[in-house]
Amino acid sequence: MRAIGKILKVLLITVFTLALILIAGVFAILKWPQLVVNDRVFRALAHLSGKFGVMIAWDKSDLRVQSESLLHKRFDFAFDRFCVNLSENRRQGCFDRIELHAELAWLQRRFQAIAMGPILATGGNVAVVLDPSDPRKKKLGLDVPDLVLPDWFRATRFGRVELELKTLALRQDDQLLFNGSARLRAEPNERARLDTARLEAVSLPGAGWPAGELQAEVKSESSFTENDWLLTGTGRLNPTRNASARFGISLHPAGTKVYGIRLQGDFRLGESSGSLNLNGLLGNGRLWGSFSGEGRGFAAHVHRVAANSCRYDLRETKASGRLRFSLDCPVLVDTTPLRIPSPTFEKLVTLPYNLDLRVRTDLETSFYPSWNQPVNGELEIDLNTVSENLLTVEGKTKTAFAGTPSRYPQGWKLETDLDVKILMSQFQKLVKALDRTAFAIFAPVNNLDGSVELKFTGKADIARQQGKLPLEFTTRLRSADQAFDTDGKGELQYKLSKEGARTRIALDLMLSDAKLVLPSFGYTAMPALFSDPRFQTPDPAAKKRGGNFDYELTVKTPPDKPAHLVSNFAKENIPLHLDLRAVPDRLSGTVAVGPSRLDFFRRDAQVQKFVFTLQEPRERSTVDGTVKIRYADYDIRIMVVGTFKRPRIIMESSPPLDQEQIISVLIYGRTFDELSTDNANSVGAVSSAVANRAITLGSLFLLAGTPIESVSYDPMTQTFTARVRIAEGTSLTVGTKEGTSPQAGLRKNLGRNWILNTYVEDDQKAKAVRGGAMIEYYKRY
Amino acid sequence: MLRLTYISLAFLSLFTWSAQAKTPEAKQPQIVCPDRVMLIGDKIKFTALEKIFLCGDPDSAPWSHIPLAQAKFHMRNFLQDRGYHHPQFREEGDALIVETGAPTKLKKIEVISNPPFTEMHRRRQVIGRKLTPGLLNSVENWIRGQLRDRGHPCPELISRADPDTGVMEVYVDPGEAKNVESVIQEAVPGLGTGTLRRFDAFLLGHPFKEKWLDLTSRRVEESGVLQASYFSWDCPDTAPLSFPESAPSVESSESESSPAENSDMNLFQRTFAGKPRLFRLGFGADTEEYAIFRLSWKHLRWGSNASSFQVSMYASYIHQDLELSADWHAFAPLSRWFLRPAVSFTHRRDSEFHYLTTNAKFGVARTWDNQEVGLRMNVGPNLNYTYTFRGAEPGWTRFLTVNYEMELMSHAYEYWQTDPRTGYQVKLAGDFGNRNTLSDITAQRFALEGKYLYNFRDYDPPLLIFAVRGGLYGTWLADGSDRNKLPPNYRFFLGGSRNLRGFDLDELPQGFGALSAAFVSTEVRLANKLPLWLQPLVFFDIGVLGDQAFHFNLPVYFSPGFGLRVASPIGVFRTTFGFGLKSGDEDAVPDNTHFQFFIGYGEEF
Repeated sequence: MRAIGKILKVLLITVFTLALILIAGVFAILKWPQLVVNDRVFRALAHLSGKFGVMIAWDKSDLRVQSESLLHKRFDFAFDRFCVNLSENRRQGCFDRIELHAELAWLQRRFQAIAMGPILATGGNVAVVLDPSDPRKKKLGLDVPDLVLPDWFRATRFGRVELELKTLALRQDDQLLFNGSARLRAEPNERARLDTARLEAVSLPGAGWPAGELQAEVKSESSFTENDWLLTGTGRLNPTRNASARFGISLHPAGTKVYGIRLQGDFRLGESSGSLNLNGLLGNGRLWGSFSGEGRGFAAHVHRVAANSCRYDLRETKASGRLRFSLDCPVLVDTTPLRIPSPTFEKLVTLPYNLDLRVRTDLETSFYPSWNQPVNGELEIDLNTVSENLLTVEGKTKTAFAGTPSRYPQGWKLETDLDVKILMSQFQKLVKALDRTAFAIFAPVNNLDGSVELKFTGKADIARQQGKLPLEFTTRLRSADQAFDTDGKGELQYKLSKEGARTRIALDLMLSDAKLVLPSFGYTAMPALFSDPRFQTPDPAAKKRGGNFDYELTVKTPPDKPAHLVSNFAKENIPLHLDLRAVPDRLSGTVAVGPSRLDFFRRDAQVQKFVFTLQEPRERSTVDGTVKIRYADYDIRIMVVGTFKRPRIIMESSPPLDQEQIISVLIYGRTFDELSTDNANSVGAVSSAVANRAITLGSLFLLAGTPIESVSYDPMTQTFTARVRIAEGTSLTVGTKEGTSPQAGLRKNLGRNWILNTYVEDDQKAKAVRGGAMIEYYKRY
Repeated sequence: MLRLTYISLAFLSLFTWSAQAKTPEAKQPQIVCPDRVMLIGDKIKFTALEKIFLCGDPDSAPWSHIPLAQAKFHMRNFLQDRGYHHPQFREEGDALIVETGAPTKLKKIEVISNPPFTEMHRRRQVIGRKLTPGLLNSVENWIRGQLRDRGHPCPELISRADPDTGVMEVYVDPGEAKNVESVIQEAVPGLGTGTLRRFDAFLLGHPFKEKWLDLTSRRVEESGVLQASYFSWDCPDTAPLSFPESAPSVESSESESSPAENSDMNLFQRTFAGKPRLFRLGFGADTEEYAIFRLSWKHLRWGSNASSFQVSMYASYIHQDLELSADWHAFAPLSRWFLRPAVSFTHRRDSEFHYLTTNAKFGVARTWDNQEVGLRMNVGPNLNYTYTFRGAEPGWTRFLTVNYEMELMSHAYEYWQTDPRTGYQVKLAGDFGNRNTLSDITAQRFALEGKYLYNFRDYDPPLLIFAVRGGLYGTWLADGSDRNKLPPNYRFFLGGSRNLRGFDLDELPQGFGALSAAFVSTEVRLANKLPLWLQPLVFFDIGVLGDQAFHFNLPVYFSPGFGLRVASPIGVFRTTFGFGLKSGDEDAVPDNTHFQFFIGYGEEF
């Protein structure tokens, strides 16, 4: 116990002694502050701070302390060439001069700053290397700190405050974020209060932050004793040589922890320009309000995009710990009106070019919006109905997106629900508008009227530089004799690249109800409706001109509802079953004539099938057809198989007849035995031409549709010539005759078994070659 | 003979009118569609259907209005179809004005083929013609035909043409050269297998030649055995041709196929038999005898070998004829030997003679063909009774002779018989008669005729045709035979369009005819050069006569002249204008040299 008591005694004496020393020291310092406030002590402290990674140095100092009383001091510090270096040169700065003037006193049981200032830091050159970016720690500042002076400054008299950074360089991750200068000045008012502060900053080019200038001013009527300040600022940015922006901003408190923000700006980027006017509230982890703006010159065909009274809401979601952004924005898009080929009709035809959209979006991103942070959300765009003279356009899109912007399009999900409709309600308007143009709609389609509708509807993934948009194409066209109803579904594929955009349309078109009228055919061969592909002008460049548009079109008819052609050849409409596929320079598929009745060889015939299979090259296209002609005693079937150019025509009958009988009955309606010699020869000619595949499909139908008088076939030139009777006593020769072929006299059919025979014969008896003309009756039995 | 003078004059008038109609005149805009489509340039006729596509059809609502762009589209194709490849279009008000521009003419044909196709230079009348799809077809078909005549039954080709330069390119794959191994004849009820082979103008085992197949078909049809016939063959399905990037290498310089190298192919002969009996009745007129009447009955497929039997009657005011004859194919179906019995009664009354004759003949006949030439011969006894009213001593004359006829004809001549251009024909005919064998007179009649036509440079169609024909005739009379009893059909005359064209028909000699005659005719004809089917010609004929067999007397007769052949669509008209000359006056007929004009219908050189 004694020992303990002794120890306590020693300790007590020690503490007391130390306390006396401390009190004496404090008293000494308070009494003679020059003891510690001097250059030597400060340099010693600066040297000591170096042990802790803070290097402080100055060239010259002027450190003064005036004692008004023991607890009332005035400090006047001044340093020349004052430099600070933190964390191994990662943050360093030097100022030409630093001045700090303050007056402190013990009042009302606490130290109070009676006066502060002037506080000057001028000629500063500061370089700061920021800590490596950590997205997880980044957070968008949706809170603004209150600009209210602490209580112990409330009675303080302020002097001028000035911070001048001649150079300020901010680096992070080896990148120069900012390079420029800044100056902050605050002058006291007549009451020695700070109620205004001005900031001027200049950003030089070459850093991450764009070049520009900023002038900002913050004012407070209460001299920052209350949260009543108003921050206003203007600035301009010149990110690149051909880009510039100007803006004005104001920020002020609008409630508890809530600030009103207003931003006005305009920009120019090359040929495009725009403006923005944003109002909102900021605080409590949220930024919301409305904005308006417009942009011009983004694209050749987009004149102006304007948003008016767009409502937005950016807020932190505590549940997900992320930012959520909502937008509801009416947008007007002015596009260039599509030029109508003929200027004459531009007034009549005005394609919609003012698009009235409504854009809504709702997305989530990280607290600090970054290209490297994933975002997800929805974007909804409504196109309000735009009705022009020709077209009505309306629709909406809703896109659910998720992905990391910096990795776009990798990992992105952009599912878009499309519902855009372009409606042409009066097809005749288009017909009339284009009638005098190079894009006129050809007869007989130009006789139709009704609606044409193109819809982009369905889901699309537009995540990447290439994507697909589903589309629907519908026509409901009618006229007194015709119909053209189609329902098509397909997709629009696009691909964006440096070489330009490529577009591809794939469309499956169903002819749900189609009926077209063919022109009235007479006894003439089919005219050359299409250019003969054999005529070619060598133009290698033409082969390369593929354009950036590609298409794949399939055209089908429902199995139970074929398309119909109306022709004077047929007793009833000709049903057509189509299954075609068209790609540039290539048409394939089948055209099948369904069971139908037609006038064939002057008889009521039944087309059992006629299938045209189109292939490329065109020579490979084939035909497979069967026509059945019913007679009193037998049925004749004509089968046509093979290629278009050289079809094989097979004729058979039930009960079986000889070929000559079949052809004879077909052409002349009589059995072969009843024919005159001339007609019988014609039968042989037809058969020979059939065997040589010299009868094209056109010739066959011409034969079948005309009253044949006689037929000749020259196997050498493969020329098939038919004389058809077009009126009583009048004949017309159809087909072509090239070159010269031998003729053993000429025969003209005068009627049943009577012919006019002009002949040449070598009369051996009379030793004379004689020519003559005789009217002869032939009967072969 | 009137020689159809009036018809010919009318025909020539028509040509004159046609020529005048084609005289160039100032080009007026052609109204294709009133107030809608007008054409400036060459006058073009559009079909009714084409006009629907250009002008519309007021009777059909869907086709009542054709937009100008559609009219322009169709017009461009219709003009292309006519060789106008560079039309200019402009719109004036509601009207489309079309300037046809100049038609593109075919300037050159380049044939790409391996082996090379070296025949293109022969094809005339394509260079300089309007470059139309039809012209391309024509050239394609011609090349195809040429290849099919050179052993390639299945040539494939494609063509293209540059409408700017007028150059046409044809890429030809001639296909494999083939020999005809066999012919499968379509069965005809009652007709033996192989019966039709006697008409073949080709030999099995030799290269395919389509032209001779056509000739064979014609022979069948003209014989009447069948109403129609043709040949077909199979071609392999090949991939469509496409123009090679570079010209194929040339491995051979000759495209003609060689039989030894060729593979074999089969032909199929389609037949259209018709009924075997033919009754024919006719009346009309001809160039020699004016009004005529004909009646015939034929059985054309008698027996399995298709023998024929016919009865025919012919009557004009100078010539009446009744004949019963048969072609009796009594041997094997493939045999070309056959028998020709015939009985005929003939009455002729001409300006120089008048006689009645009857013949009973039994000939043994044969035909023979190879790839280039055909031979027909007929030999047999002929019993002839002739009653002469005028032209010889009146009264009956009887002959029992061995009659022979032989004809050698190239297939080319036969094929182009009605449009003579190439080939040759030699005919030999005669009778051997002796009074010791039932003949009243010992007389041998002999006639040798020949023709040769040369197509200059083998052009197709021909440009210049050189023709030579000649005849040598003689009748031997045994010594002591009564010459006056020799009937007119044993005597010879010259003059007329068949030999000496500077003299009238059978004008030489004056009197009852000569016992020997010879002539040579030469002719050069410019064919397919002038419009309106006009083919001018120049000729020179020379001939001599003799009063004994093969003993000729002066004078020598000459006939220089010129003429015109008109190959019209209704037949061939041929006119000559010659001058008859002679070397002296030995014939003692002073007035038989003169100008001579002939016009004929259907007659050829």
